[in-house]
Amino acid sequence: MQDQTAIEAKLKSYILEEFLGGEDPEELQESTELMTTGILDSIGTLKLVTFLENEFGVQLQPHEADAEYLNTIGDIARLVRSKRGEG
Amino acid sequence: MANSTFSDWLRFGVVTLQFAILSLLAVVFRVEGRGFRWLLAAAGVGFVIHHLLPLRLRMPFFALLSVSSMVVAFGPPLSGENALWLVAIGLPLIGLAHVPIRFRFRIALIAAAGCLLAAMRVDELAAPWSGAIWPAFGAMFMFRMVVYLYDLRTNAAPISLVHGVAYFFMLPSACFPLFPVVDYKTFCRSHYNDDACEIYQKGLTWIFRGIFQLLVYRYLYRNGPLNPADVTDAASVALYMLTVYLLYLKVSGTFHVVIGLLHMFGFNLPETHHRYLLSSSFTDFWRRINIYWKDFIQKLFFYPVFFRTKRWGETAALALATTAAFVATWLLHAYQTFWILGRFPLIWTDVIFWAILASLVVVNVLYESRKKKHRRLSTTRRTWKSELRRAASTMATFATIVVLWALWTAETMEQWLSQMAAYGNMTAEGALLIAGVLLSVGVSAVLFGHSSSERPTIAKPSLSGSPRSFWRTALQTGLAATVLLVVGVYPRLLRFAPELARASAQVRSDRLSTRDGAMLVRGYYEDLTSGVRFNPELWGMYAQKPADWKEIADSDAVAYNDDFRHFELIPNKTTIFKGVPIQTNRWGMRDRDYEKSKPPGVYRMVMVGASRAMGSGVVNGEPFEAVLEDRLNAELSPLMGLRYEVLNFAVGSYGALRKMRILEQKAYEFEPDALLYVTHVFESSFSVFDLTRAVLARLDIPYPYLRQVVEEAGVSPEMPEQTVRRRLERYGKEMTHWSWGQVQEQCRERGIRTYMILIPGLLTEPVTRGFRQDVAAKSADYGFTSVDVADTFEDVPSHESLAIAPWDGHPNAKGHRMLADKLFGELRPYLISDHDKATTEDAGSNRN
Repeated sequence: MQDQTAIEAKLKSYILEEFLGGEDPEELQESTELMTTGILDSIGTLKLVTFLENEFGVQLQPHEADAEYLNTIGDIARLVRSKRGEG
Repeated sequence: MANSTFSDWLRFGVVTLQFAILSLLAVVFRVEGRGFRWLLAAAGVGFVIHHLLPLRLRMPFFALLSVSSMVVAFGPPLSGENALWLVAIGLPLIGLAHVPIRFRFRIALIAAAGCLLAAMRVDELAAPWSGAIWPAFGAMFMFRMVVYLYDLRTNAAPISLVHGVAYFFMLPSACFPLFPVVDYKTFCRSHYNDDACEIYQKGLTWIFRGIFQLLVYRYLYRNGPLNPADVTDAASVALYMLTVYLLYLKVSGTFHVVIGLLHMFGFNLPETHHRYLLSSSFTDFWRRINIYWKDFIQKLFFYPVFFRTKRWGETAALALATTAAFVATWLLHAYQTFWILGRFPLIWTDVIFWAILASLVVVNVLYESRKKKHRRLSTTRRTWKSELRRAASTMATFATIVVLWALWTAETMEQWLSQMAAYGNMTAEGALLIAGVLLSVGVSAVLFGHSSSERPTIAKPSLSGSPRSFWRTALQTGLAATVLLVVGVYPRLLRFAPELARASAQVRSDRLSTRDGAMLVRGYYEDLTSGVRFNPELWGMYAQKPADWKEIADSDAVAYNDDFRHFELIPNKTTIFKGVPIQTNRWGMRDRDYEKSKPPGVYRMVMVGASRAMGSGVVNGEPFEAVLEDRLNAELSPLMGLRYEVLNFAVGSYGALRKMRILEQKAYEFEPDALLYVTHVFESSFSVFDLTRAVLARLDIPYPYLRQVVEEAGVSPEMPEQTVRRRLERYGKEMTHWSWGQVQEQCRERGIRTYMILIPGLLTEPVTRGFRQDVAAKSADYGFTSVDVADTFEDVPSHESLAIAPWDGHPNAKGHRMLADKLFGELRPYLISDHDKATTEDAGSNRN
């Protein structure tokens, strides 16, 4: 079981590594918009989905690959927790 | 509204003023159809009321306004009836999505209803409503129902009758068969999700941008080199392909206007296109052009296929999902054409275009998925190297898309290959032009091509959303729209720049170009449904045309035979044609009855021509020939002591060759004193059509000269129609003039006076002075008296008021009366002078 903060930390690390190479980690907040600003495009979103499923053992539905669920690190962490019955 | 401040009211006033200016701009520049301009006026009033209502009432009001505005959008005479039918079909369809049974059964029910409606669309089943509603029905339901069901299934958005009605009937759907695929969830969730005036101002900016793009499109449409037959070298083919690609501005412009208008009712929807000309890769192009379509395909096909196949590995799943997205795009474009035009086109150029684009995007997607992308949160790091790379990739993408677009829009693969072959004829001018265009694209890419995903995300507080941003955008949009409006209302202000004044006049006209006028006329006799898919002007007209709107060759008024004319009007036939009753006489003329032998005291004229002379779309007694005859007898007979007869031998679609044939086979037997030979700007194309038909139908060609043309052109019945036609096109003018010479010779032998009557078209640009002079000179060379009535409709601002239907440029009764009056005035002096001469000669011979 991981809490929201731990999940967010993992997510932040993955996003910095995969999509924001070289960026100052301080700049990426849990509320930074990822999909609506284009940091995550459609391919990036699917890579993130693969990461979530592999890393956290959750199964996402196609309609969840959407800004409603994946727009910020906070949103993603909440989705992961709710999928794991923790939310 | 209770907490509104003075600033809010001021901003609302500024927004309302801009909306009024933009609506006037649409009227002055005749943007889109009359229905849309009326709808815009209704939307303007609706906007003010809507804004003054409490938030909870705005969505129901929008739903009500959307439904009622359909009456305005359709226009008379069936506006109310059409709108009611759309609601009567639409509401049960929405209801089916909510039947309390398992979801898959609901889908089956809707699919069954869809099949039933599809059968009606192609006239397999009789529909009780007018065919004119199909394009609007298609715009409202063909994709929205799919999105709605998806969101219903996933509980993605609020569901209610009001939301459903607002979504499916959203204005201005009834005006635009080609409508952006608005996402239901976004539609609902974006409703007033920001400051109202900010949303309105964004909408106004987009409406202005859309109108501006539509005007640029119109300029290109009128001036661009759009005739594939003119492509001879690298410069001409490059310009042709570029112009064909840029005609897409019609779609992007329309979408900006549509989504901008929805902003005026609080729907803070995203942009539909984003600088697609500056795409730096094929995936980038896919993401920037028609973004709503990309999102629709992504939601319905790309993501679901990826999720289903991801167990096979990310690379395979991405490749499969991308391929599925493009296959769906291809099929859904054909599906869209089906609902709008009533045909399901499966065309090779389509298949090849989508296959190539899919392959390019798959490669691009796989490359992007392996390469880590580095977006920026703070500062953008632009280096010479990165910007040069951007310029180069944008130029390469642009060039490839332009060439592929030409393939997609080509009538045949052969046509595109011959265009590509023209690049082999490279000239210095061609090389400079291509280099210049690509360089401009490269520079623009560096300056303006960065997409939102590449811009810093949190670099600095954005002006967007601040009061300063509102006033700045309002000033820009308001000022630009006002300047354009003033220039539109007072064109003489552009006297200092004649070229600009000419361009301004051109973009104010909503008539068809001469080339499309020819296509429209060709469409009366050929099935051009596939050929006009990429022609937004004709496409719009075809979309409105009811399926039962037949041409004379497909009607029961004609009988086919093996003669060179191939078909003729059946004698003593009464039938309905283009919505009106018509009768033929015992000789197979669309006219009243006449004795074969000319009675004494009669001055008899025979008239040959095509559909306008025959009187397509008007009842007997209304064609200009009949009106002319009545006027001659009412006004000239008392003076001349003669009775006048004008025998109408015109038959729809007959060109110069078949007009000659009917004269030889029928008309000369009626002992005419004069021949009224009706010609028009498309006469040469009709001659080509005459011979094409004869070749394809394996008819006996009774003229050695024409047999020689067939041999020289190397055409045969086994060839596709387009190939035969294209090969014969270069003989069109020559064949026409040859037949004029033949007719003149035949008339001279029989002592028949010949008049060459040049009549105008409707819904198209005026006949050019050059063409009129050419016809006058050529017909005079052959001994015809030239009677030019081509300017009859020039002073009429709205041709729509003279056409039998918005999709059919044949004159109505009023148009025929105008033609008859003009013709009477032109013929009168000749008839009097001929009569005086004949009387003098008779008197002389009597004295002798």
